[in-house]
Amino acid sequence: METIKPLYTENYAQRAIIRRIFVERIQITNEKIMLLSEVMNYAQQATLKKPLESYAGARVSFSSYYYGGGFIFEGKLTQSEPEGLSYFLSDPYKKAEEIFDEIYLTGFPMNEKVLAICKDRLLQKYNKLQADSFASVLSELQVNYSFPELNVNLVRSMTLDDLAVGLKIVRSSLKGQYVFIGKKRKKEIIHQEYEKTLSSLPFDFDVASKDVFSSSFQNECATYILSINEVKGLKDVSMLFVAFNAFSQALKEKIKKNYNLDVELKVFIISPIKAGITIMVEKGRLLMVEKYLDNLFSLSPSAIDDYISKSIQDEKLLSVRLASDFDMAIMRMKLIADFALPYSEEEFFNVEEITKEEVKKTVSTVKKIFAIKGSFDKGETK
Amino acid sequence: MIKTDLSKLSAPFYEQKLDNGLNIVFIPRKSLVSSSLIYIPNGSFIHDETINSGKVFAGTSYLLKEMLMNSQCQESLSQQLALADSFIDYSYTAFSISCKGDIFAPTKSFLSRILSPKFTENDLDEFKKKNMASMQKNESSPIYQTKQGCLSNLYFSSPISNDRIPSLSQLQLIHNSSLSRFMEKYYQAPSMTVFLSGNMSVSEVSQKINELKAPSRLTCAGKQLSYHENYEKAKENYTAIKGKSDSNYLSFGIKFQKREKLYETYGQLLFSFYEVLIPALITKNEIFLSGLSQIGADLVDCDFRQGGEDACILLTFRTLESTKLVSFLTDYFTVCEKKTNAAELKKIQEQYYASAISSLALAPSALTQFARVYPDSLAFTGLVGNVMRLSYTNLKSFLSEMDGFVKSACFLRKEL
Repeated sequence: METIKPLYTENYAQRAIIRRIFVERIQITNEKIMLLSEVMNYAQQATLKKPLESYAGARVSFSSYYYGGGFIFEGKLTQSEPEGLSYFLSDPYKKAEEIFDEIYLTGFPMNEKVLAICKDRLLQKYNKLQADSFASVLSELQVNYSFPELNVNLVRSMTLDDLAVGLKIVRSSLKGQYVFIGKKRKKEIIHQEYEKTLSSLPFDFDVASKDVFSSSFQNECATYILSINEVKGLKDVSMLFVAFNAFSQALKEKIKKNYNLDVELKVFIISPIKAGITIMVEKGRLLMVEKYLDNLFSLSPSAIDDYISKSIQDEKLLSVRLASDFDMAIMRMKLIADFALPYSEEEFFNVEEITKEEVKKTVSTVKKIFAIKGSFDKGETK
Repeated sequence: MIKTDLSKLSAPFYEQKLDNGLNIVFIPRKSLVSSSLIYIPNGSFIHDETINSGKVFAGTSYLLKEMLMNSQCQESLSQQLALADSFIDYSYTAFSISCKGDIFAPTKSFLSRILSPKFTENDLDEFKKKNMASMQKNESSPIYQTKQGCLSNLYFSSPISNDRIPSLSQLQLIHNSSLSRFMEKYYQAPSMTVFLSGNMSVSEVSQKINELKAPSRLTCAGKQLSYHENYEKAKENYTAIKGKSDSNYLSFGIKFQKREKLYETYGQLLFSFYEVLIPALITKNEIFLSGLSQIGADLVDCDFRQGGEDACILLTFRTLESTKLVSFLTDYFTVCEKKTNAAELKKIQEQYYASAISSLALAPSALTQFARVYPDSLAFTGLVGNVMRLSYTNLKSFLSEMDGFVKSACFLRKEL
């Protein structure tokens, strides 16, 4: 079983139980798992017989994404934790756990209209992603958390029975993980047992990925996969983001100066030893800066020297953001869970002191290992 | 400081008026962060035609907010390890600051910007230039166009039909002098409130609040904006427009009766209705949601607006065609009182309560909630108590009145 060390805190007066179930690629199609989470979400909104609200405002949501060479089907249950107000609900937590289990068993309403709406919603999301070169490149790379490529005809032809089979597969998976944030309880949270940890899954990207061309793109991007010093703790994560943010700022200003072009940069961690950085430009402008970008790596510590202090300052503000934003805390817990990082409550809420020298050292170890582009092409449709 | 404890939420608050007229509200919380929120009692809803002989344009309050809490200001506050942000609604403007240490230092820094504003006409031009593309994008979005179309149908002259964020054309009319005049009238100590929250003692706060400075009272000449809204009918019942979009959209609006009239009938209960109305009738109503799924329509935006004497509900749907949806909505909202029941209300009250507990746990969200209901002269904790005591009979009588409220729709047909 894998329950990642829970984050016990009363700061948010909320608790979240996240059940992440791993499903092998061979067991389920992209279309089925994505539509399944859409239908499960809709069921919670409209047709669930039990009023979740009566259990301290419980809310459940579902999502699916690429993960560890397969998919994660994620269910998230959040609830308020009313201090000193137990008269209001006798044992909301126990009830919540039962509800969570029950939802997986009950599934979704066998209603064709609901299915049609959910197909529309999913395709609507997919269409939006198809306009974004960055999202398409992430799909192509099949990195963790990316939105899988969909075949529109397969989505359209999916039946309720297909989805019922999908749910059965998800339910029977033995690989998974729980993430918990909330007040400390006398009894530990015990759910269904999972036999394999998610952190042992192969986190990587598809090395066979090819540049993506599409006439739907509203922007263009160049993504670089970089090898990094192994991330072993939260301080390493902070240093990495400080380094990349400083680099992003330096690059932004250089491109503005040399090409009078505004660019957007995004940073993401693929595995404890690989990260990605994406430079996004307006549609039709990638060609103009392509060569310049290709020559930029590896990162030169001196090139970003002026920007490190500001980046360290921004990272310090993370502790204020974290303590004010429950969703952000959930994201940080998921990162901890992904790479089985050790942490204490103190480390979770505070960013350790980072020096300029440490950042420079981090930068000097970064090496480009792969590049992929997402370009607009009038003639090609993805 | 005067203590008030209005509910069983374990969230008492303390109030004090300083010698300069500045109102202080302190809500002690065990949150890891401390926060302050500077509240200005004027938002996107225009109340003035002129201030000190200068015309007041829609969007002035928004632009002023952007100038005061610009990136330079946020950057300087971040040096003090404080996160700063600003937001605007129809009735108020708010500037929020959060940090893990002493909240008074960054709050004083920001108040000093209000005391001596540093922006120039060039800064305004720069802002307009920088935001032009994103504003154009927003204005060309099908949801925005459909909503604006519906508001134009619904209202004859009320400023509530303006968006919270001004349009590009409105923005171009505003200059530095307009902002200065607006500041003189609304950014003065007696009309401002500073909310504070965090793990601080009352004695600590009552000592430090005297260091907070704000502009003194100034007498401003001017003319109030007067408008005549017809609450018995809509300007247009239905219009259809065309727009570049991947889907068809429909916005359906409900124009509430004049606030003064509703308040005469329901008193403070009115604001409790407003808290539960949207989940009770729309977002958590199974009859409504399953009705939509039968038609194949999808609710994509739900907006409840309140400002001046006006309030409205604006619902936007993605839909294949409009006729069936408009008939469904018209039928549904002409018998509102039959669409929910006592058990459903209880569910909604429970969820509302749970969400209030979560909001009150964190200093920044506690202040956001207090500011949100402050224009109605209410304390959030008091409102939560009122909502929890709300009876279905009272809600039903308001819903019956809602049946007669004016409705209108705008349909945007996709143009490929």
